[in-house]
Amino acid sequence: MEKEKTGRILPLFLFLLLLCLFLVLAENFGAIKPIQGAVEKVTVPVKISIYRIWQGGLGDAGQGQKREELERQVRESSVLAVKLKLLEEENQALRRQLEAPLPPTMKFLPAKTIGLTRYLTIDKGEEDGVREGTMVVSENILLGKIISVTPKTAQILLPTDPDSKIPSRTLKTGAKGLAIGEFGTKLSLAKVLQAEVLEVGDLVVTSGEGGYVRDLLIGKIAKIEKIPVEPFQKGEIAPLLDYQRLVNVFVITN
Amino acid sequence: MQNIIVFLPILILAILESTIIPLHLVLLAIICWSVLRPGREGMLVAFFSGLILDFLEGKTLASSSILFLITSFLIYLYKNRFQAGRFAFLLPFTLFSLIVVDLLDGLPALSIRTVLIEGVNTVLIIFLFPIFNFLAKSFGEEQLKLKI
Repeated sequence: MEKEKTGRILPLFLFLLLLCLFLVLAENFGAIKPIQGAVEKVTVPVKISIYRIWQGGLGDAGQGQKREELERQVRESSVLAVKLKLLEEENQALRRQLEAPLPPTMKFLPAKTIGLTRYLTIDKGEEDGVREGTMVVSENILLGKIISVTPKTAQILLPTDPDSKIPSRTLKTGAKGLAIGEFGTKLSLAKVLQAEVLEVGDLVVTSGEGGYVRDLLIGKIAKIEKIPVEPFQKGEIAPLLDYQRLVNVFVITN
Repeated sequence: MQNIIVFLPILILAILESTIIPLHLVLLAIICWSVLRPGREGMLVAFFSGLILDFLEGKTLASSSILFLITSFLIYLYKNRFQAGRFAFLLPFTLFSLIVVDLLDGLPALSIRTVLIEGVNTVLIIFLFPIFNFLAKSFGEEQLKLKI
């Protein structure tokens, strides 16, 4: 390939870089929101379809293939069954949410998951009244905090994310600590004083500090790491939710 | 037609990256494209791919574009002196880029686990590179007609 002259490329590079900075600024002033909203009208349904197919694939693993003939015969009824199942799931989730031991003053906005990479993405955004910093739950289990919002979607910082630090306490023994995410897959209760008691199986809930709603479930102590010479002990928390399989979640709006 | 050939695979990778695969697939595509095509084209593709990814991921618009542009420009500088299409350059450069991106994302990028994950991510370029090589060759010496 023929060598290109840097003098020809550098102005383009600088121009594009400046354009990027201009776009970043424009977004900070809210000028991009209408375009983002219009684009998301197309992208959100596509993302929902792909995510549901992937979630379905996870559930079917190891069940084997269905016969083509049978599939053709049941196709019509399957469409109805899927609709019915989705409505039933939504209904059950709403019922569970109503029965969850949470303050009656709390208001919930039902949302559906549309993607899980580092953050969990939901199909509700600024246009639905979702704001940064609000909590997301499933029943009374904390799913995380909203860290970014677009007109039609929002991203949730899961408790397992390395950036997540939730002031917490154990339900039975009252030991206080910080629920810290590790590598996006693990969660631990750290900074627990040696004098405090940690028990395997004890539930971990939010302590109400750091802007988190009090007494939301985070997980269950699965393992304890106690080294007597260190000032703090640590407990491994087993999350109570499988984030990959979640479909219906609730944003606490007030 | 050329634009579709370039952006369709990138769009697919961006949708996968923003929905189900937590790996930096688009960055890999940008590295491949920047190595295989002239500097101007690599940079334009990097800019627009960043915008696509930011729209899909709900990130600050153009934040990914900045990263991709710098990556593309570094490849361009290297390409002017040495052969960039060799895995002896591609693999370490990709790993380095991925770790830098993780660092900027606030992840513990220097932990063994992250390096291992990004190592696996880096290996993906071995499979992606021939695909983009095929696409790049189908262009021949023609330049992308992206207007800016």
